[in-house]
Parts: sequence; structure tokens; C-alpha cells
Amino acid sequence: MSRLIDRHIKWFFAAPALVFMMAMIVFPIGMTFVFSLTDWNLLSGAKPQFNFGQNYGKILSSPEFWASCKITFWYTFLATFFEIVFGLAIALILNCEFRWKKAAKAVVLLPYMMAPVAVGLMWMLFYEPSSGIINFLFRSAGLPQSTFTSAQSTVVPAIAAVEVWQMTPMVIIVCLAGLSSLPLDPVEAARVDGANSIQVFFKVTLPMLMPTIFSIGLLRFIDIFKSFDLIYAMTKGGPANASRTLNLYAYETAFSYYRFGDSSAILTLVFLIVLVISIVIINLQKRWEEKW
Amino acid sequence: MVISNRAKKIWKKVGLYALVLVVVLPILFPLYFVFISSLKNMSQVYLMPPQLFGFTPTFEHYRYIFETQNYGYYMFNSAVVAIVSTAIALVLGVPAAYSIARFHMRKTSTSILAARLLPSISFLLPYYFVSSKLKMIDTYTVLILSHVVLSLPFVVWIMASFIADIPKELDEAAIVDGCTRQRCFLDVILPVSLPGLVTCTTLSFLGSWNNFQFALILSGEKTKTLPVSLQYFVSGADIRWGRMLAATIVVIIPAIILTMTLQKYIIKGMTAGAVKG
Repeated sequence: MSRLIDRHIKWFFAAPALVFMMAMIVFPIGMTFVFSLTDWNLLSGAKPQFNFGQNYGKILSSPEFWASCKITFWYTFLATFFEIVFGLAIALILNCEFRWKKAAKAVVLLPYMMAPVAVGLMWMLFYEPSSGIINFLFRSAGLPQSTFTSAQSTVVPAIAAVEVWQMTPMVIIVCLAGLSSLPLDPVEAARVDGANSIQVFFKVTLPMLMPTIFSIGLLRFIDIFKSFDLIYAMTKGGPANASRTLNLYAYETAFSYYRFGDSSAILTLVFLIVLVISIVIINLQKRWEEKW
Repeated sequence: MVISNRAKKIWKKVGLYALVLVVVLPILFPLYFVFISSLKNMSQVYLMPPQLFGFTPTFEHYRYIFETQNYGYYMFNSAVVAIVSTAIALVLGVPAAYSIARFHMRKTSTSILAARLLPSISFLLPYYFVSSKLKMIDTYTVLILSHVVLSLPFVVWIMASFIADIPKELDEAAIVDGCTRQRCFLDVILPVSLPGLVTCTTLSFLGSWNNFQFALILSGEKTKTLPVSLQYFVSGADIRWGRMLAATIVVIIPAIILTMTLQKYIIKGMTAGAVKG
């Protein structure tokens, strides 16, 4: 027995985790796929029958799905873009030496560590159209009032702003780590050649930081693409489905309309989209590792 | 010339502090605002311009959520699920991380990374289906297992990069001394990877504490967790702000305390999980 363990020692350590993941991730994903091929509907009460791909045809030809797709990508793009921009800018500020730097870093981390549902509800108070603090500030500054989450035209940017407020710390921390691992020589060489700070940043620092920015950007893209809690807490996909991302669409199809077959088909599509993006990330990361 | 140089330096300093303020205020002010709003009565919350200090605080909302809304019980549920799921994730994940780091199990580590990237909602329907078949909806077991699924990839990922940084000579010396791999892992590697364990424990605990989606579907009245109970203060357009904000504060307090005390470890974990392979 002990010889057997010795010979396969690496599997002895890894097997429990791998078996667990198999049972709890790979197997359920297979089940979701099988469900997606059936007309399973909890309300009709009929026994689920295979209808081979009909769900996919129905979903891919429904305008609701494409509207949801558009909202998801728009939301994801908006939030990722601003998280990267703010994250990089704040990382550059926090990379300087000043007193209370540690405290400032801890403060910056705070939103990231809080429950997205709590953050979402908090911002609903600020977004309150008539008596919220943000519209009050807008009024005081002479800016036009905004409808935020209560109108179809503003709801996606409004939620994306909260996503940015909460999740930018991730980008900041990773960019800070990237900045501290950069070699100093190129920056000094550029300075000796008479480049000013702005030139040094765009010509030297930014290009060297690009791999970091790229990989954290893709990672954030995936995480935001999957985001559920924040949107559900703030609008449940409303008003009039204007913030219903694919995740919420699948959730609603399953747990409001009990069309489990259709919902599984949407989930399988979401899974495929994320899988493709993940494969891209993993390959990029591998290539990047090999370079070192 | 000398003076103007010094003046320039001072202006630079002032500018830097101003920038730091611009970064920190948009985070601190909303938190402060929520906190004081949770201590105001219903009509004061809506008062604009808001009274930022000098009002008489009331703890009525906190009393309400704990006395009539069972908040203590939901807190207990959240804590049980978070602690047990973190413990299981560590027991399963740390040995796996050791194996990945020491035996260069590339494929295994890639599949773990894939598990971290996949949308968790695509396992949710089968969980719901299986656990309702087994009459296990609204039990701790299902909720805890589902949270382990979320934490395990993080634990493996962070610990693998952590253990990879521990010199191999440590293992080799122990093995030359006659230790088995298992002994070496328990007696040599675990003690030196304590900082990594702190990181994983913190992140995995908070991940479970904050989780909403799984608990929304898999929990019921008996096992309802804090984030799910927050939802019940919103009924249509009518939001009981004072109560809800008090509840929000209760949910985010552990996150704030852990972040302020363990920020060094958290930062390490976030960078390990994001950049290194």
C-alpha cells in the first residue's frame, strides 16, 4: 500500500481535489448540456423529451437573446475599459512614495472585498433619482439630473460605474505588482536622454507594462461577463429588460419561467463564449511565461 | 534657483497628496455616507443636503434587524458556511497545490485555472436539480459544497504559486533525512507556507461570506445567508433605507476589518491569482 502511494505520490496529493472538481464541475457542465437538448419545462409538468437542438434554434433566432448578448458585451466592454484606465492611473499614483501609503492601499482595496449585493444596494441609495446624493451633487454643480438605474437609456452605464467602483482595485493591485517588477534601467536611460515624465510613461513604462495590462484586462473581461450579483441586486435586469445580461436571462428563464431546457441552452452558449475567451487567455499566459 | 527647485519639490508633494485624496475620497465618502445613513431615522435619510454630522444617531434599525428579522441567525448561517467551506477547500486544495508546484503538473494547473474562469452559473441548474431530487435544498451540505467549488480553484492557484517560491532544497533535505513526502509536506512545507495559508483563508472566507448567486438558489429559510437576506428589504419600489443600510453595514463589516488588518496577505493573493502561472 505505502509503496503504491510512493510511486504515485503526486496523484496522492492531487487526487482529492481533482475528483471533487470532476464531480462538481465537469459532470454538472455535461448535465447542463444534456438538459439543453430537452424540452424540460417545470410548469408543463410533462416528462422531459429530447428535442435535439430545437432549443438552440429557438434561442438563436429570438431577438431577446441577441438583445441580451448586446447588453452583456456593452456592459462588459464599458466596465473593463474604465477599470483598466482608472486602475492603471491609480496604480501610477500609489506607486509614488508618500506617507500613509499602506493605509491608502488598504482603503483602495475595500470595495473589492465587499459583497457585490451590498455594494449594489448601497449605490441604489446614491442613485435615488429625486433624493439621492449624486443627483443632489449634480444639481449643486448645475449639471442636468440623471435617471440612473430607473431609465432604459442610462441603466447599463449606471451599473457599469458601480462595477468599476468595486472591481478596479483588482487592476490596481496587479498593475502595482507589474510596476514594481519592471527593470529601472530603461527609465533611467530615457531620463538621461532628456525625456520628460509623460514621454517616459508612454514610450518606456507603458510598453513594458503591456503584457500585465493585457492579461488582467482579459481576466477582468471574463469576470465582468459573468457578473450576476450586482445587476441582480440593483435592477434584476430591468427596467424593461434593459440591463438583462445573458446570465440574468438564463436565470430568469429557469427560475421565473421554469423553462429549464431553454435556460440550459443559454447557459451552454454562455459557457462556450467564456470557454473560447479562457482558451485565449491561457494560451497567451503560456506564451508569456515561456518568454521568461 | 535653489529656492525655486525647493518650491517645485513642495508643489510636487502637494500635487501628489491631492491626487491620493482624489483616489481615496470616492471610496471613503460613500462608505461614511452609508454608515451615517444607517444611524438616521427614515425622514433624515432623504434630507438633501445631507447632514453629514451633528445629528442624533439612532440604533433603532440595528435593533430592528436583529430582533425581528433574525439577522443573528443569518449571520450564524453565513459564518458556518464560510468557515466550513474554507476548511474543506484548504484540506483538498493545499496538497494539490503542493503536487502541482513540485511535480510540475502543467495540465492539472491549467484545468484548475479553467475552473476559475468558467461561469459558475453553468453548474447551478444541475446543483439545483440534483439537490432537489435528493431533498437537500436548504441544507448546509449543499451550500457548503457549492462554495467549496468556488474557493478550491483559488486556493490551489494561490498556494501553487506560493509553494513554487519555497526553495526545493527544503524538501530534498527532509527526504534525505528519511522523511516521506507526506511527512515532508506536513512538517516542512506547511509551516513555511503559513503566509500563503493566511491569504487563501481570508480570500476564501470572504468569497463565501459575500456569495449571493449560489445561496439565492440553494438556500431556504433554514440556511439563508446574509447577502440573500439583504434582498428582502427591497420590495418593489419601496426600499426601507435605514434598515437595509444597517443590514448592509453588518454584511460589509467583516470585509472591512479583514482588509484593514490583513491587506498585505490579500494583496499577495490577488497578484498570485492574477498574473503568475
